[in-house]
Amino acid sequence: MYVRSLWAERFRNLRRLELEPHPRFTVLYGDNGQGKTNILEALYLLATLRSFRTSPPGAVDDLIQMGERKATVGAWVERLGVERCLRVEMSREGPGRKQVQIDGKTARSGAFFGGFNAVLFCPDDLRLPKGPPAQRRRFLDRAVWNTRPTYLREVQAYERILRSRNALLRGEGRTGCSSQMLEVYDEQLAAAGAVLVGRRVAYLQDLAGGFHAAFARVSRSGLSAEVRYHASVPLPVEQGETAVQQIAAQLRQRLLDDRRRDLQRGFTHSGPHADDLEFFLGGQPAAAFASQGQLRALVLALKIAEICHLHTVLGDPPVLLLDDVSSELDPRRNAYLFEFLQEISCQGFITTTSPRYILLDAAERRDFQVHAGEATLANHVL
Amino acid sequence: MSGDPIGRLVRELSKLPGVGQKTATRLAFHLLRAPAQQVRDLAQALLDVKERIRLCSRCMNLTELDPCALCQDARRDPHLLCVVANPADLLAIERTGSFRGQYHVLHGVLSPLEGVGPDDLRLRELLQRLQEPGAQVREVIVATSPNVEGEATALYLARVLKPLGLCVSRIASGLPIGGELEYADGITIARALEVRREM
Ligand SMILES: Nc1ncnc2c1ncn2[C@@H]1O[C@H](COP(=O)(O)OP(=O)(O)OP(=O)(O)O)[C@@H](O)[C@H]1O
Ligand SMILES: [Mg+2]
Ligand SMILES: [Zn+2]
Repeated sequence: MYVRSLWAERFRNLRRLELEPHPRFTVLYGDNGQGKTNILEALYLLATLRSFRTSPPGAVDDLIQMGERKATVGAWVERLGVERCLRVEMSREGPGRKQVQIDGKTARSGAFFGGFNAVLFCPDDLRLPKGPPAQRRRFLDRAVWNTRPTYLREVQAYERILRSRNALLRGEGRTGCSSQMLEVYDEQLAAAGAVLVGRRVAYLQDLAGGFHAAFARVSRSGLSAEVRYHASVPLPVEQGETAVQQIAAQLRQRLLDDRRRDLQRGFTHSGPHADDLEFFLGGQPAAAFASQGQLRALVLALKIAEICHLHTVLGDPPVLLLDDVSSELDPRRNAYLFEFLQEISCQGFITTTSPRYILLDAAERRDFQVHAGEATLANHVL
Repeated sequence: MSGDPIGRLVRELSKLPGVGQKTATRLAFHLLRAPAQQVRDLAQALLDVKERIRLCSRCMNLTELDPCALCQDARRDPHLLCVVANPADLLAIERTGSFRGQYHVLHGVLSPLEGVGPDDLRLRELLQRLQEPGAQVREVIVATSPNVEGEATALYLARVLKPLGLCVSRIASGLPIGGELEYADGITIARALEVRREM
């Protein structure tokens, strides 16, 4: 898929942006704080209706230009030969604070997802192996969501059940916490949780081969690279529907075993919200043993595997958003990154403070200088 | 009561859902200009719903007569009972014309997040009705919406009703997940009822 044109109005510091990207690579360069990442954020918003740097990710207030009430972003996106006009309008007040349109018609967010897939790669990702578990879960959930739009619903349902169960444990409101009520929420949480665990594990299994191969190329070493999923309960060997039922049964038992502790602390200790990923290098836990450079190579390989897998699943390459990644990679890995980018058929948007990091041929790129929220086509000689 | 009748009217109107200060003011001036009879009719209609509409003592639906017309209809299958969250859901199912059993309205769904527990629903009335001598219900169909709260309510009902020797079933999930029954179309509702599954 590819973005033919992009525009943004009163979005962050982008007062009025119009941009015609290159079918291959669009390089956004400029000094710090000029709006490069804001442009990637606009694209990410069009793909996911979320930001990667607001909290919560669905919040709109920070996205609207200070002193303004509304912001709009839009793009013409072509996917498998079909071109669509996507538009998101954000407003500070009212019930529909985010309104989405496809080809000029108001759409429900469910219909919006799946038409435009973007994969973001940012400096934060490079801290994945050693960062907090929530970051790894977020990476995984976003990756799975990209492969199946309905996963979002499943995650949201799980989160609502979890919040309900926690409220029940704390005896909030007048509900009272009878064991019969808890059993209901145990059953619901186990069923919904098992679905998430099943999808996450299946995703990682699909990714395993590509990840290992990509790491071998990035690091030019024979060490094995692996990501393991740590679930709250033992996982069955096979996958599929019966596996999900087995996980649900295990999870239910665990909730029952945990009940006293859960009641004492007022929250649910076990479930996919508490699961984690661990990276292994040559069979050793990478967070503890790998060098800084190896850790970065692991993440780079993981992102590459994610992109390739998504391409296979969608039958169409996703759009890549690379935020300032080159400055964080050593020259050799940076060179490999661009080797990879030139091999695959994705469209990419790349931000940088310095275009000299960007190892792409002139024919494959269009450079824009970003300054004070405006992007101007650059005519520098590379 | 205080003076300033217009101010009072605006205040009262703006308590209605979806009516803000601006709309309330516009409505108040509209009523002020309207013929006296029209305003009197509106006031009477408002009083009437409050005074004449109550809950049916059997099914808890809104009614003027007690028991309600549905509960009195001898042609309805006494072996089948459909449990719904709200009167609006009951209406949605009735409109399809595909359900010939009886109803029970819970007036809500379980929601720890909003502090709604079993005691806040018309559950006691349901249990009483199912256990009274001469009760004929064999199957209870839980037709709450297929979202988190609706599912929790269904699971809870299954837990308390199955020990009574009743068959408890759930409408099929043909409805969009997370969707509201009330807004689903007739064909979808009829189909969801038809291919219900035992819980
Ligand atoms: N809601 C907003 N209204 C106006 N300006 C905003 C808003 N949110 C962010 N900004 C401005 O946007 C700028 C940050 O833009 P952005 O993060 O895109 O910078 P960047 O070009 O990626 O910089 P860096 O190279 O440091 O990453 C800041 O100057 C910030 O003040
Ligand atoms: Mg930036
Ligand atoms: Zn009745």
